[in-house]
Formats: sequence, structure tokens, C-alpha cells
Amino acid sequence: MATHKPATLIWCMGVTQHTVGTANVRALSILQLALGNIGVEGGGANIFRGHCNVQGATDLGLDVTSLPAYYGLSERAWRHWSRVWDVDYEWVRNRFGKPDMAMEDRQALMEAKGIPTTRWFDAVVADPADVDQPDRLRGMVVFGHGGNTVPRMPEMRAGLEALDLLVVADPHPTTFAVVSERKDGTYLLPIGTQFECSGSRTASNRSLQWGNQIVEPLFESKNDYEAMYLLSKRLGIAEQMFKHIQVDGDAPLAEDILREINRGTWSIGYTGQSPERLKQHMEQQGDFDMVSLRGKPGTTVEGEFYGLPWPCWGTPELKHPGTHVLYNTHEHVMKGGGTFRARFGVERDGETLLAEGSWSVGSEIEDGYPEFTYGILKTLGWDGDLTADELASIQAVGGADPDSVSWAIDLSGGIQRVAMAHGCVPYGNAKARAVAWNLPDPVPVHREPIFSPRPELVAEFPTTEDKRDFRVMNIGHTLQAKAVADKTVESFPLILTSGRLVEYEGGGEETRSNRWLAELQQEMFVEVNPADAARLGVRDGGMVWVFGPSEGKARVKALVTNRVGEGVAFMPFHFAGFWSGESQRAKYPEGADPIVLGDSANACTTYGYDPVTAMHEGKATLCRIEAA
Amino acid sequence: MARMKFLCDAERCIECNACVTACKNENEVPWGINRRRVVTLNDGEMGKERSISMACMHCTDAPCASVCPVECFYTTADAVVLHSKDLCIGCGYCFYACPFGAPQYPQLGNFGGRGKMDKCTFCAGGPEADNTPEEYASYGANRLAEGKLPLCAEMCSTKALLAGDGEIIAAIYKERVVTRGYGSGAWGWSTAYPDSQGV
Amino acid sequence: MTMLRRCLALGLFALVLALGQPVLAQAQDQGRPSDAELQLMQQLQGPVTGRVSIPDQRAATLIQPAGKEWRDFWRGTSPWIGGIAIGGMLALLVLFFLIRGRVPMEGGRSDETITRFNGLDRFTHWMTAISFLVLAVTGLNIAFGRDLLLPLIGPEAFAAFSDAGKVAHNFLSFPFTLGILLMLVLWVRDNIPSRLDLEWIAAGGGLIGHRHAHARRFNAGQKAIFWSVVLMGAAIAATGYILMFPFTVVAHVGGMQTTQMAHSILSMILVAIILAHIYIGTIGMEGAFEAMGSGKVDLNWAEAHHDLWAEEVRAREQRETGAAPGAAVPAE
Repeated sequence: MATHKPATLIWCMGVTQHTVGTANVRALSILQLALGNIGVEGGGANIFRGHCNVQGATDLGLDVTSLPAYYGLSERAWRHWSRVWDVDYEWVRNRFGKPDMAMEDRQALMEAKGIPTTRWFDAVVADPADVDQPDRLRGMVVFGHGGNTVPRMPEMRAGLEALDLLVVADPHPTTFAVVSERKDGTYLLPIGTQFECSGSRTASNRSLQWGNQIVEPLFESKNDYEAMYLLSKRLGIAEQMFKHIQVDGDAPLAEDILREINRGTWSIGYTGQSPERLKQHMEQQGDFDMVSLRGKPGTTVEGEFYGLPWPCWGTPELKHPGTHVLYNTHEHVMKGGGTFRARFGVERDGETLLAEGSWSVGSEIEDGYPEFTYGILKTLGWDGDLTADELASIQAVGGADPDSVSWAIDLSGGIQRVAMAHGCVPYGNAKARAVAWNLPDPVPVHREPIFSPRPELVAEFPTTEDKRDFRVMNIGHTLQAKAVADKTVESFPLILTSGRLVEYEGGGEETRSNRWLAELQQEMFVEVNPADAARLGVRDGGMVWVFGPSEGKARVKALVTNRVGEGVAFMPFHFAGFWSGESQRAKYPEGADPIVLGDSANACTTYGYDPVTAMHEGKATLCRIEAA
Repeated sequence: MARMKFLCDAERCIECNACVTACKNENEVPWGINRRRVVTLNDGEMGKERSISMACMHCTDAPCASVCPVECFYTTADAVVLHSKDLCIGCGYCFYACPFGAPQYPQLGNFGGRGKMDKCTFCAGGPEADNTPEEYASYGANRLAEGKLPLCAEMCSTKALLAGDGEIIAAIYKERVVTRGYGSGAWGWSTAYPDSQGV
Repeated sequence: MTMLRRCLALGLFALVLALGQPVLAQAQDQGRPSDAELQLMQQLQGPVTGRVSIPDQRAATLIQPAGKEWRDFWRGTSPWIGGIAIGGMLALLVLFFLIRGRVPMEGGRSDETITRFNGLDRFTHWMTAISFLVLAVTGLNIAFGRDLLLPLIGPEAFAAFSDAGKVAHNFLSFPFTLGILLMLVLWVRDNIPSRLDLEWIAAGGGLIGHRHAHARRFNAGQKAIFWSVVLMGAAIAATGYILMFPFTVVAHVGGMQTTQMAHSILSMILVAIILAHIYIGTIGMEGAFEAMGSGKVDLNWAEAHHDLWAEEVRAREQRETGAAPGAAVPAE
């Protein structure tokens, strides 16, 4: 890698689904920085997404630690979004907590990180006193998420059974619908796929595309928008939630949803991609170069990058071309150039955090600079470039302190426009950060998994301390110590990892119901190395039991192959519909059962959560395999 | 007239099975009939694993046509090898002769009841009139008649699978070989007909 | 094997060659196969088999070069074998008939007949015979129909005939097989080879020259037919069933090819043998057809061809008719 440049680094969940997931991602990013592969064409740190619009979902607040566009959960963030939504901050705050709660407690709850999808069942079965919210989790509405994609399914099953209410909103009944012994209080809402609704979708490269509805929602299903609108109506918040979104009958207008996104997501430059611009790109695909993604000269999209990858700064009218390569100082910011973001202040330990001797092409400030605020514009004497409307907007946002209004909360986009007119990037020009002082490990370090195949290394490389976070306890450290003390590795000598198949997606109900795809992978399997198979008396194609070190087990077919190394077993996680070798087919509503069913890999996977993101440890545990 | 050929560049095939899925969907190929398939050689062997998408290769001197007892095969003006299901008696001989395992037979349930043979048509339909419902029901799509190439190759994300005029795809392949500096990776006739210098 | 390997190495660019002839030289100069590629190629001796995720493991065979050899057999060797066996036999029989004419019954017909084959015998024979005739015609149609019949009646009629023929071929295999089994049970006792057979053969079976050798119920020629029918018929039936249920008994295409080859060769040879059998049982010899027709043969015919058997039968008949009263009245 040191000699082959530029080079890009691509990863998926093999890097992230660990107790050290954040550290892994940071280590790879630092490696790319050190190699000079960041900010150049052909370089980059790329995370490949597994589904349509995963990137978009992440950008729009799927993460329980942030409001849309990574604003966080602070009061400032809530006030920004309240302004965007045009609702009272106080009204939003009063949606939180119980009727008798004090305002401070409501605000604390509002600004507390949520319970992640990896941990929800822990918040269901826990004593309410052990959950950092007024009550334990009692009801769950699941939109487009498979219950078999997250580890610890035996515990998840117990969680399902303890819920008062379960709503599964998906094109097909997912694992959640059938895996438990729930008898009541379960609702299956048939929801259309992405082909049954229009809207913007964001890809791994931050490009957006406009997807047109291909078919009407099949049978009695509805699309996400309509289901959410109807739900909000019942909850009595429809008027506020859809204040600036046109609703035809019960169907919100997809274009208006994107326009609202455009009005609020200044922090990541999701603002310039209006529905009109995206549709123009879709219609004029032929006007873009296949390699550079740039609009060809002489066309109406000249210079624009296909799909306007964010950041696409400013308003749509500003016609920012989108940013194909992040942090690319070799381009003018109005042509997709950029710098490293000044996100962590200007100075630390007496040293400047701003860039030194580096700026993007055309910058009038030929040095580092902090992020732009109205106050900074005034200091630079550029505030006169703001239009009257922009200034009025800034003053409305800032109230008593307009100087503090930043590029990220200025609803007019004026600060961004003026900064870029002077060749400057709105978020500032700083150094990239390899030491993240606000994270548990400022510099990424090795830590053994909770169920380590090398227990002798745990003393030196233990997982992070137990901590109450994301509203629940993380007892990874305790469990790791217990596994060492119990000598778990002796009875579970193989490393178990999990992953995807190309034929299936996520929980797999949709794809396992598709006869073209289902035919290609008809049985759940575990990959076993030939040496291990010989030792265990397992033959290729024979059935085996896979036992996880907690309570789970799965009865699957053995695939004896060198795809896995000796001592490692792999299972794909898309299968469900069998539980511990028993078919659950009878539990599906008639005609809704997928063609292919199988035991779930995550029945065997175990505890372990990244301290920063609460991502589960689906890629590293132990197991024992026995011929069935 | 063009001489239509397939070519699979094993250096590029990533075993995604999109060609198989595209074929099945475009031609409504029933469960259990695999007009196209992806075979992985040296599965899991580091550095040696190669995947190849395989279907009827539309041989010039097609063995299936040669051995057919009822002469149900014919070659189109585009050099695509097709067959008539009206004439086929489901004897299975073409499967014995075909080097590529292309012919497929539906099981009709009772003993000996193999149905009419089915295979890749290069998305060129069959003997019925072009793009009629009758043609589609028996043979699937006729993209060639619409001026389109087979969907499997059109869908191939890495362009490992090439379909089209033999001379054009050979030129594309040659360019690749020259660019990457080493050869083969294209699977097909050289192995099937080791003692011939071509097809 | 080295030859094959060399061919493969040379064949690396055969595709390129096949598609656009002039590019080969250049491609060979510039594009050497990678080491991994060469290793891969070195394994390509025989079928190239990998892994597929679908259950049909036949699909895992990427390339089976043996298909070419089978094709050569089916389009080259097989018609020759069949042509020589069946055509040769026909020619021989015509020639024999021209020279020898119909073999007359020695001494003319007597007024007496004796029973040679009972009802079960004849049922068995004709069930097998009729099945065999249909099997032979439909089978030969598969082998030669395309060249001989198709040009005469056109593709539609020929396909319809062949399709019906395939169904008939499959279904009539059952009475044929049953017939073979019954024949074995009914007639094996009289078909054990003996020393008499050598003498019979030495005497030319009475067909060559005019001297009759002694014979019991079946002479050596008939025994030969019996064992041909039973053994070859069984083999043909067995291979036929393997072909009828493809890839159930035999897992690989190579096994199917071998089975098909055995089935076709044995069948064509048996057809030739049966032609001779039919000849001698009908126009070739006076009095022979009656054996399977009415089941009764003229005594003169029996004494000429199966003297020992005729004596046995007569002795048995006398015992059964004449000895019975004697048994009732003890001799004093």
C-alpha cells in the first residue's frame, strides 16, 4: 500500500461489527491519511452499504445519538430542527417524558442518546430502574428491519415476548413476526418496497438519486410515508409533522419530504439536491462521464457530479456541483473541492488545530481558518456580501446573538454562499484528527472480543469497562472476564463469524421470498474448514449443530470449504424461519412464508457492543460444531 | 451478419449470480431449470479461485444439433443455436453431448417423463414469430429481435460476461489481455474442444 | 496426458482465435497466462468441476470434454456398428435364402403332431416378441430415423412419430423385461449347454449340409438365441432403465454416456440376432413357425430337428396314457 497510490480502502460490516468497530474504522481512516490517500481521486475510505438507501437512512437520523444530518442531540440541535420543521421547541420538548415530569427532566430525556436497535430487548426485560428513562421499553414499531440480523436472538425472543405491543411494518413478515411465542398484541403492517414509492435515495458515495414509483403498492400494502402519516394522525401530531409537506389524501408528497430535508441539513450539505435537480440528473444520465461522474461540457449539467454527492452546499439555486471526493484541496470549493473540517475548536494543548500551509484552490484565506459564523463574516468584512433576506434570516435565527449563527444553522444559506464566494469552505479549514480525545480510546488500540479465542490475551487487551450508556448497562467487561474464568474456549473452540450472501439482503424475508433468488441459496449453511471437518467427522452437505457459547444453537448444513481458515466457521445471517432446528413455517400468515427458511446465524452469536456506536459484535464469537 | 458469441472473463467474474437472476426473470425460467449458472472453480483456494458464468455457448458446429435424433436444432442468421420444442422429444442426448451442460429438462413427474429440452436462447426466442406470446411462453424473451443483447451480459456489473458479435467481444477481450498483461481467464471452447483450433 | 496439457496451453487463446483470427499472435506475445491460470489449466484433465450453490450437482461440471467423444460415437461409430450388424445380417439371410431356399420338412408332413410349446410358453414368447419389435423399430428410429425416415415424411410427422415412439419405447420396456424373466424361468432347464451341442455345431446344425445332429428340446442354435435374448435383453433392459431415469442410478454424465453406448450397441446386435431368429422361424424353415403358432409341431419335423426330445415326449405321453391302467391293476 505504501507504493501503490492512490489506493482506496473499502470495508463493510467485517470491520464495524465488533466491540472495537469504531477503533477499526478510525485505524483504517488514519492509515489512509498517513498514506496520503484521503482527498485525492482514487483514494478514500469507503464503507459499502448493503441495501438501497442505507446511507440516506443514516444521514437522516437512524443513529440514536443524533438528529438528522449529524447535528447531535443538544438543545442547539433541537432548536435548529424545530425551526426547520416550523414547530415550537417547547412543543417538541413536551413530547418527551410522562405528563408529571419536570421540564428539566423532559429536556434531559430529549437530549439523551436513545436505545439502539442492537440493544432494545435489554431495555424490555430489564428492571425499569436499570433503564435510563421513565419506564422499561414496552412497545416497538419496526420499519424495515430484520430481527435475525442482530446477535443474541434467544434474548431477543424473550424481549419480544415481554413487549406489550409489537408492530412489524415490512413488505414481508420478518423474523420478529414469527420467532417468538407471542400470542397477542402483534400487528403486521404490509409496507411497499422502494419500488412502490418515489423519493430520494442516497448511495455509499453520498450521491442521491431520485427513485420513481415503479408499481402501485401491491395488495393492501402502503408505502412508508403513508403509514407514517396515518400513524402520526392517530398520535395527534400529523399537523406539526407534515406542516410543510403536501399530503394528498393520506399520501405525503415525496418531493416535499426532500425539500424539507434540503431546508435543514446544512451541516452536511444535503441542501442543494432539490427534487428538480435530482430528476434532471436522472433524465440526463447520458450527459455524465462514466469515470469522473462529471457532467460533460456543453450540457446543462456541465461540471456537476452525478447525483450531487453531499456536501452539495448552499441552496439549490446556488448550483453547487456536489462533492465527489471529500477533502480535495486541489479543487475550488464551488467545483467540489474541500478541506478538513474545523470541528473540534481552533486550539488544543497550546497547538493550533487549524490547517497550516494548506487550503483549497481559490481560497482567499491562504491558511487555516475556523468554521464560518455571522460573527466571522463580520470580522473578515464579508458580511456586506449577504443579501437583505439572508441577513434577516440570520438575525431571526440568532435572536439576541446573531454573531453566533453558524453556517450549519443559518437557514438562508447566506453564510455558506458568501464563504464559498471567497473560495472558503463553510466548515473551516483544519487538520485531520488522528487523536480523538473525546472517545474511550483516543488512539485506536487492540482489544480482544468478549468471547476471545485467545483468552490469555485478555489481561493485556481487555474490552472497555462496563458502563451504563445508551440508557442500558453494557456488561461486556464482566462477561469477557467470566468467559476467561470459565475457560469457555475449551468447549467452544472454533471462531464463529457471520456475513452476507449476494443472493439475499438483510433479514432476507423479501429476498428469500423471491423465487429467482431463493433458488440460488436453498439452505442455511455453515462454512467449515476441511481440516476442522475431518476432525469433527463432518462431511460436506451433512447436517450439523452449531452451538454458541451463550444459549443459542442452530441446525444447518455443513459446507466444507477453504473459504474459511482452520479454526474458523462462517454463517450467513439472512436466514430465519427455523428455531433450533424446528420449522416455524406454520406461524407465517398463509401465503406469506418465504420460499426458503433456515436457522439463524445470530441465534449463536453473542454479547458485545462498541462503546461509541453500540454496534454489536456479530463478527466475532466462539462456537462448537457437532454432526447432527 | 454477426456471429453471436458469449465470453466469460474469469478474471472479472465475482460470482454475484446477477446473470443467472437476470436470465431467470427475463425469460421466466421455472424453478429447477438453469439456463445459466455460475460455477466456482477451486472454491476457497487463495489466489486460485475463479468463477465462470456458463450457459449454451452457441457453438458453430454444435454437438447438440449433431446428436439430436429428431433434428430439432437450427442455427439462426446470427449464428445463435436454437431448437424447436414442437420437434424435441426430450430424449436427453443433447445433454450427453454438450460440453457445457447447457440443455435442461423439466421433470414431468411420471417415470421417463422428461419434458422438452430448455436452454439459453441468447435471448433470441424460438421458431415462433418474433415476440409473440407463443414464443415467449415456450422460449422466453426475444431481445435480439428488438435489437438488444442477452440480458445476462447486459446486467453483468463487472462486464465479465460479454455477449455480442464474436469479433467485437474478441477485440474487447484482447484489449483486456494486453492491458493486464496476462491471459486467458476466458473459459469455453479451448477446454471443451482441446484438439481443435477453434469452433 | 502431456499431450492434452499442451493442447490446453495452446488452447488458451483458442477462443480469441475462434472469434477473431488475426488477434491470436499478438495476444500470445503480450498476454502470458498468469501462474495461477497455468495451475488452473493443469488441472483441466477431464471434466472441469467446481462448486455451485444450487442443488443440481450436475451443474457443478463446468465443462465435460467427453461429450465430444460420445458425439463421435453416436454420429460415427454407432451407425457403423448398427449398419454392419443389421445390414450385414439382412444381406447374409438374403444370400442364404437364395442359395439354400426354404428348408423343407424331411419326409413331408406326418399326420401326427406333438405339443412343443404350451399356452404360457407362447404367451411369453409373443409378449416379448411384440414388445421387442416395437422397441427395435422405435429404437432404430432414434439411431437412424433422422437420416432415413425424416427426409421421407418431414420434420413434423417425424417428430410426432418419434415422440410417440419414445413413449412406446419407455412403456413397452416393461412387458419386454417381464418376458425375459419368464423365459428364463420357463426355459432355462432346457437350455443348459451340453455335449450334444458340440456335436450339433460340428454337424453345422443341419442347415449347412443335410445331416441332422441329435438334439433335445433345444438345439445349440436355439440355445444361443435363448442366452442372447436373456443375457443381452437383461443388459439392454438394465441400461435402458438407467437411461429412462437419468442421473438417478448413475450420477455423472460420463456414466450416462457409457450406458447409452452399451444400450445402443447391445440393442443393435440383438436386433441382428433376432433377425436371424425370425428368418429361421418363418420363411427359413418349413414347419418351424407352428411351434410358436399353434404350439404343436409335426412329428416328422420334431424327429428331424429334435429327435431326442421327440422320443422323450412320446415316451412320456405313452407313460401317461398307457401306463395308467396298468398301474391300477398290479401285475401278477
